[in-house]
Amino acid sequence: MVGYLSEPRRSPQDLDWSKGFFLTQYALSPLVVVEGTAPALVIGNFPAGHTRYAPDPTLALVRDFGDGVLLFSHLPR
Amino acid sequence: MTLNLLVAILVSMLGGFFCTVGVWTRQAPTVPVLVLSASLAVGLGFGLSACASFLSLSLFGASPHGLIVTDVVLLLLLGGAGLWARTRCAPRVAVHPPVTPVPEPRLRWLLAGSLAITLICALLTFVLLSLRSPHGFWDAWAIWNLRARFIVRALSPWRHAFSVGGWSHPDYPLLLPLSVARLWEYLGRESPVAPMAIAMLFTFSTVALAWAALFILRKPSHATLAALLLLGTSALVTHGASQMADVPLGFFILATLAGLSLKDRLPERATALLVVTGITAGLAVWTKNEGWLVLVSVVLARASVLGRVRSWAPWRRELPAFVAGLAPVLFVVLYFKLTLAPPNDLVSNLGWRDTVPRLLAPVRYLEVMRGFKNAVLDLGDATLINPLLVLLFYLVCVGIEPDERDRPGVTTGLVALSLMVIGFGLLYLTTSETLAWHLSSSAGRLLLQIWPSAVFLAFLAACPPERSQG
Repeated sequence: MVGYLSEPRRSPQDLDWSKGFFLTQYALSPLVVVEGTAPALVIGNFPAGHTRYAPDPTLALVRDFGDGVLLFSHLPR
Repeated sequence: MTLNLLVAILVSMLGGFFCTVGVWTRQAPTVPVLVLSASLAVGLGFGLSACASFLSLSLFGASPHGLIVTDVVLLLLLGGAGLWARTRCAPRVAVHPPVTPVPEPRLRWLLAGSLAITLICALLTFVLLSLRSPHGFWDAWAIWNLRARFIVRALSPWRHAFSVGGWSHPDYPLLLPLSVARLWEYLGRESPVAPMAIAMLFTFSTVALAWAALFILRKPSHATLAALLLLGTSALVTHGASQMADVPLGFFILATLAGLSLKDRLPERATALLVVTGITAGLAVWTKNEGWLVLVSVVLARASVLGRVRSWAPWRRELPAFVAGLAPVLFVVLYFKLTLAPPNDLVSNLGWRDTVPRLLAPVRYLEVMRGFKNAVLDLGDATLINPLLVLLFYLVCVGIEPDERDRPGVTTGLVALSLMVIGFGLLYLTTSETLAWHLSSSAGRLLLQIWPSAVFLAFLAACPPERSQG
């Protein structure tokens, strides 16, 4: 299971947000992608050039795949 | 890769062919009977293979070539059953479909030429749309192909496919995902060609099935005009290429209603046709949750029509063969629903406290009617002429005059489709989703599910052009 981090939704039916989330799940299956940063690994999916949005201070960047796709893990406590 | 894909498709279709053995004659079958059997074989083959694949996954777990082994076993079983039916149950006297007068040569060539040109245009459109969106449209990658990926990639933890969030509707049945997963297993990789091929087969088999059934039941000219109208329905081709489940469901609704009409006309093949009809009704349930509504509507419509027009006895005589086809498929669906599928979001949100006020709000009725009107307008996508208007104009021009023998089939179909529309309406009235969003995202697809059947029934009831001229 991996977490999913992106820009905040603009509305409950924000199509752009949903499309990004669903396509991430499609690309990463059979991993189950869940919204939020609770899992140990978190995928960041941002518009290219807007990758600095990381509200969770416990997250550390593991790898930047380019085009706004990032992999985070939680910092050791 | 192409050879593997062809083998996978042919294995499915061969299994489907064995199911239609009772529809054949002992003499060489005519072209319409061959087209009927081939188009039915697509749906029956893919549907039953998906049932067998699910049982195999559930009972023996996933293995690298498990679905292929299951296919071979299923093929042997269906082949044995088909051979038995052929030797024991096929009519002793060769039976041909009713002889239908062929239209005059000029009209025949005009219709055949138009059909050929329209078919080529529709095929090209389908291929171009598929190339532009190789993974299909939204629901294809968010639901159907996603589930197929889980099954193929995860192997032993394939059940994780059903723990994905509710947005992916993990309670939806598995005919389409397992069909895609099967083809990927044959191909040895996840090629988008597999879901494209399945989508293409279902889309054009729908047209072929309507053509063949109308050719046998009515007139060649009617069969060709119906095929022209379906191929000219841009929404059918667009949604077909989208790799979503609505066109396959439309195929099974059409197969069920056409099967009942054929049964009324060809009593010597009644048992075989009723078994096939039972299977296709079950496969509608195995394709999408709306299939339950289809099944209930068809059963109620058939019972009410036969009970009213004749007596209950004919319906009671039909039931055993229908149930014999339906029961095995329904068993698989229920097994899936009871052991694996999470509760459906729409059903589980139906509490009395919220549902009753929704049902009592007149504004929701108006909004649903507006949604249906928009869905009817969208049937032609952005084309100049709406296909429904074309159909209505044609019916006004030629008039309605169904053959006496087709009246139970036509009435059953009309009542069943009406019940489905009422069911769709109730679904929207009671939905916990935002109504405007729910309507705009699905009403067009629901209408498309019943459109092939509506065209079939309209041409079955319409007065043939040759007669209206005379």
